[in-house]
Amino acid sequence: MNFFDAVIKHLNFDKGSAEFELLEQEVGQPPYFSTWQEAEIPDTDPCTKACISPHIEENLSLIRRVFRTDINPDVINRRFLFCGRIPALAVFMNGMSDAKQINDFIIRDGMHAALADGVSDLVRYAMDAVFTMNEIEETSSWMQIKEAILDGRTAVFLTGQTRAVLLDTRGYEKRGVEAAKNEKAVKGPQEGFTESMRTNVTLIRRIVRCEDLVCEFRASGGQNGVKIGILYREGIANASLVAEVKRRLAQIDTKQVMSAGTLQQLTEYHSLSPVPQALSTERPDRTAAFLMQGHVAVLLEGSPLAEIMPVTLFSLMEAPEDSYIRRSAGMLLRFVRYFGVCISVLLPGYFLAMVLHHQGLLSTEILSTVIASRRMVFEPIAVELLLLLLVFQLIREAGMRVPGTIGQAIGIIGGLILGQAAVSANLASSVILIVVALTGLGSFCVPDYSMQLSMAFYRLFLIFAAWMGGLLGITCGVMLLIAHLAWLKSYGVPFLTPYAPRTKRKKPFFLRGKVTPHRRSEDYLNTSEDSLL
Amino acid sequence: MRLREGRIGTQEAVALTAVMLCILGVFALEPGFSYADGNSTFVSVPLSITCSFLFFGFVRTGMVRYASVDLFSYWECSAGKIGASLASCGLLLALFLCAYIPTSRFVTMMNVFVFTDAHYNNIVAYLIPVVGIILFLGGETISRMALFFAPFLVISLVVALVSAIPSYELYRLYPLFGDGVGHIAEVVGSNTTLFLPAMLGLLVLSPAVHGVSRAGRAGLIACGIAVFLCAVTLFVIALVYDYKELTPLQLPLYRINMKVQQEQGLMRLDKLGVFVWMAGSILVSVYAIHISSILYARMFSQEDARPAGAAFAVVLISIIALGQGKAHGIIFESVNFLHRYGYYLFLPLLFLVSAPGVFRKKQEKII
Repeated sequence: MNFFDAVIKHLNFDKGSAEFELLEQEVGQPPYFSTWQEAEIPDTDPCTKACISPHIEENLSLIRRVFRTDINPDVINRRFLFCGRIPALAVFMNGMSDAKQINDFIIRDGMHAALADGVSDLVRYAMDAVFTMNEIEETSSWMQIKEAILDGRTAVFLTGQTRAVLLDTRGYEKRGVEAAKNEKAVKGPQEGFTESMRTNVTLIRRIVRCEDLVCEFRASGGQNGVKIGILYREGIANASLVAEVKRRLAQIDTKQVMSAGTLQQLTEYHSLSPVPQALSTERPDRTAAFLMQGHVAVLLEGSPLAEIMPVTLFSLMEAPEDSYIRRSAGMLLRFVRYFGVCISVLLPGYFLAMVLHHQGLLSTEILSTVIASRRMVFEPIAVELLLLLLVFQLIREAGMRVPGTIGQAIGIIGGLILGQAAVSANLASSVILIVVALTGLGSFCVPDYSMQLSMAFYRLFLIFAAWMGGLLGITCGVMLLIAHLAWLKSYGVPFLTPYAPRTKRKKPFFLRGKVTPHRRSEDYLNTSEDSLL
Repeated sequence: MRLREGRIGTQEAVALTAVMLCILGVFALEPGFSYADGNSTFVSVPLSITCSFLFFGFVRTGMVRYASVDLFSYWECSAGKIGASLASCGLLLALFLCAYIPTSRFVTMMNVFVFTDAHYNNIVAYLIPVVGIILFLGGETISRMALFFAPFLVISLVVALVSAIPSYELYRLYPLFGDGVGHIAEVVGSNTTLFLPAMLGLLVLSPAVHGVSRAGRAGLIACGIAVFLCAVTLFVIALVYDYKELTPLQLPLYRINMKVQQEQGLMRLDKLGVFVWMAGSILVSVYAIHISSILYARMFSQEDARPAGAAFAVVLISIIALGQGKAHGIIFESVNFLHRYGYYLFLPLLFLVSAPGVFRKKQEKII
């Protein structure tokens, strides 16, 4: 192609390009002022209406269609003769099922068993006398069969039967139980949740050995079909709270639910609020403690976190090991934590208000130190503060994303070398650097990661308020912040409970109380025990 | 009904009422009138709160007798629709005073002492989102905020009083009750115009505070707290300033801090205290507007109190904003007049409307 051809090619707007283009397939034009229209997608799943055929060929054909076995080799269809004479079909997902169990207890037992005379119900006979497996059930629903196969179970179809046998052959690779990475405790258990929900439930059950602890498994509502487990103490947890959690979970209808965080956002009411309305924890002991109190926990397959609901501000401020150490030390730690929160949220805004609007409130020594440190810095102090906070978040984010020791090195490099270099280069003043460092330290005192991020939001809000209105702006900002927290509810429980509204409580909510023998749950949970009093 | 009353617990109700009484008792006194011939506010203000509580108890007795759900329905039973509407209008006006006086005073203080270069209306502009948003969030939020802020208010008061210890002088009490019983009675009466609406607010919100009996208990506790705090604070003010010094001072407690702490370097907390008190005064204003909007909604059988609340908030902010312009004189004089002499009309009106329900023979009661 010569030069002129190339020019002409680019000038020919009316001719179609040979380049691949992904085109819209919906009918009509999208509305001009609108977002994505939620349309009802018709159900095209053949499993919803189909019945199990007595001919296994027809069942096999449906399975091939549903699981696209022509291009998807993961689904294994194994034909065999049940009791040596009845054609049967075992269907399972390769990699999700335990091949040894299938070979030993389904194929071998199924082939070698002797068929007794006068058996009228073959499916029942197979379950009772042939397959030697502990978890086994029959079904006539194709949807259930589909979910079971995707779950790693094996479905067995027998000729002449309109029901199938589902056998628990789940056995897939998973991570072992390791120490909790983000919620470390010096004293106390070290175990953390894994991505396997079954393992997680076991970890909880090992601590909560109560007969009333139930775990309801159900679909998450995402099209990816992962399962969730709702754990609560039946007869202890408030029935309406459990119903509300189930109702919100049942309302989920989305493309995918990949993690507990997504699940939390899909179920909370105030999605615009920066504050989390459920507590995420990776510690079984913490989950167990909440369950014992009467909370509800939700586990998600593939997520090493439990979502605890409802939650209050004060429970978000509790660290796992608070109750494992002595009271005096616990009180001190709790006090330091709340002090850290105050510093983290208020200090930058307060400092900015003082320096910009209320210099008279600062002593001459402090004021002259600030002026001296900022003598060569070119940007306004508010911009400098915001820039350094941004840099701090950058270092933090980079340190978290980079694996292992390099992440720690980034923190040290960012904190020490970059800070020192910035001061030397007159890009930042040392006083602001100290303020930002204290702010960062304060935010790290908060045990909950989501709460740390929401505090960063509040900090920014108060910085802007202080920039505009000094202490008046901070007063108004703090009032709005408190109003928001006072208004917020987590699954029907006010966020500032047990302080406002005040509930009956023997232990202090702010500092750590004495560990005393008690049988009552938290008053704000209105557990079923309360109705007995 | 979407009156957004919410559910207010006893502690929140106590905190709301106590904060309102304390803010009004300490910061809403009119110095030119209260300290005209001597300083006996540490007696007259607690007395005024006690009188308001007695009147509150009187109305509450009638409400219990008639099993009324709230104050307006009681007044309807007691004096008919017209009487109830008249009393409600009087209460609305008094509530407006409760909302206006402390906030406008703090805004003026801000303008005079803190943001000296700023325009008055720029300071008022900061109040708009705060008042609007908190009001919109409803009674539950306001009450929880009151419970949250109450300890800070008490701490800031205690800090201010303790830090003034070096300036305490007993001779400043002279002339002891020098303004005479007549003037004390006048101060008691005029302040009742502020304290009585604060107490009656509990009865307006009685469905939200779980009934009239709980409202009564909350009123009793709040009254006790407010009497103690106001008496101590005003007594300390009387120890630090004599009545002649106090006459031109709008916020004497703020000036105490300035007087005592001006040379203490890092401990210059005078302006910090004023911000905590200002938060309290904003909360009082929002609460007063909230009560007004609920009362208004009941008067006109509206299902939602928020439109009325929004309208009252706009009126309040507008009048505060106008308070420094050309209308300053009219507004200042009108408010002072209502504060000083309003009780001549207000108290008899409320008594006339409330009394029939209390004194009428039982067989005549209408439920």
